[in-house]
Amino acid sequence: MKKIVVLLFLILFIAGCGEKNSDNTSFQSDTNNTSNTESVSVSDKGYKFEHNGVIIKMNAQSAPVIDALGEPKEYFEQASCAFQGLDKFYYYSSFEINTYEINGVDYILGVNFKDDSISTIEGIYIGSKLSDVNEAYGGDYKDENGSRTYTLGDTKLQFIVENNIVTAINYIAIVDGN
Amino acid sequence: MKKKIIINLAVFLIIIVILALVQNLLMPKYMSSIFEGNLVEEYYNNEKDNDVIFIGDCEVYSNISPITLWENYGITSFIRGSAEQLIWQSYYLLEETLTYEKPEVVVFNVLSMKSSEPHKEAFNRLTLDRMKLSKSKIGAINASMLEDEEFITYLFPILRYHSRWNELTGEDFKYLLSKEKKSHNGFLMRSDVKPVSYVPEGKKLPDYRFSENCYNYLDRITKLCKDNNIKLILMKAPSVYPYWYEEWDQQMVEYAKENDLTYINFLDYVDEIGIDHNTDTYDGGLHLNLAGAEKLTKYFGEILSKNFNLEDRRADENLKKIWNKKIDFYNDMKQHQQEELEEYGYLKSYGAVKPEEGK
Repeated sequence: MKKIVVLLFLILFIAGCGEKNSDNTSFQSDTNNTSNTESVSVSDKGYKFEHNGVIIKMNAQSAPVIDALGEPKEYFEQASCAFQGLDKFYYYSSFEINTYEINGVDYILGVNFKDDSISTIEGIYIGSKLSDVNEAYGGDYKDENGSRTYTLGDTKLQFIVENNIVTAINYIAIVDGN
Repeated sequence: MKKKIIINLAVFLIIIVILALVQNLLMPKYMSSIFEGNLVEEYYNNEKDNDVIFIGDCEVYSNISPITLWENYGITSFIRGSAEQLIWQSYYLLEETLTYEKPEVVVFNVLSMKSSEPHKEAFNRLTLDRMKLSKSKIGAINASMLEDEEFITYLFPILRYHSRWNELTGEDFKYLLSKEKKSHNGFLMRSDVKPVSYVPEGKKLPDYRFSENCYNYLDRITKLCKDNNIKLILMKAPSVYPYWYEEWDQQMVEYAKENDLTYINFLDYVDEIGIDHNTDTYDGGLHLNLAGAEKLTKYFGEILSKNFNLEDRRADENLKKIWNKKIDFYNDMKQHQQEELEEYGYLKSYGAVKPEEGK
């Protein structure tokens, strides 16, 4: 009997100890629970995109950015399989922004260039030469399967390159699973 | 001495039972939301007499209705699907399934070929936590774990969920020992409608080749079926997103040709199937709703019936009895979902999100 009591206390101790589940395994989090103050911190050190005076940082809250950019040409949303929360896509004429959601707040997940009418802050656009990319961003990159990716802070800047010419540019926020 | 051994054994067994109960209490139940968490587990209590087994992600468990397949063609089936099921998980789930039964046909949805690495622990848990312990489960865990995950937490989920003790709700106690069925042989029903409004183009990719890891598992699925004399069909569901690139499709066409398999990209047959993007999807085209799933199933059922010689077993009295119960459950849920849509405007009890005002 004594053994059972001791072991029961042990079980309760094991069950009770440890940290709360982190958000990415909180399967049944209540998306209406606004008292949960968990949010995303934005690193100031990261690649930013600028369009018409609007600075777009990855992992920043998207609402002020979308407000500042104005009404997109098209909008699309993708519900995350099994979980509440939407990935949202805002299509402007020359780029698209996609977002992810945590606790009811949308954050910038990425910016993808669609044509050569815009450029990065460092002056690279679709159609730039790979040598221009090297000059603008330096030698610390990862080449993989036809893309060159630079990492800075909580962002990646990916250039898809064919025959030494940039054919696509993507800003990518570094988040879990990304 | 003998008495002491018996007492110690009894104590040990009591501890095991208590631990098992505590573990079950702490594990999420998925009875009021995220019904996907039940899909893997619901297979075990089902009859193991399926002509067809479907494996894959939400593109199978949302888009195919086994009840419709039975009602129209007398074909029995089960969907061993789960949320964001990765191809290695599909392989191990299939391997496990084949220890219970040998279907005539296996259908694998190929969308997961685009995912070469594990994604998120949360999705791993939905597939793996309720798999029964087996060699297949161990294989699936090892293939699925992220770097910061620990194997032992999959063997003993209490080690992962222990901190849920202060999040327990009435649901955790109510469903401690048994749960309600949420799917229809693995099909999750959604009767609501959200039309397709915009279909985004796919983003340019640096490389369109599927990974070696994914091809390795596709080869293993192919071999597993061949070794067990099972016909394998590769399918791509008619979802408008994630974007299915022409370059991906071509790889599947070639793979099927090289391995003497059937590959059906249902995106090419949307009109023939009769899918209406205004009425047949519940989330803007990512997944079919009930109406769309029934249309796709009827179309696919014709192929299964005629081209794969699957017998119409509706005359089998035993099967009829079993499937009539399933049909009743299906129709009851259909009715309940209609009532919720009329009362609330959305599927409140089925994981749907309340539409924003004016949208």
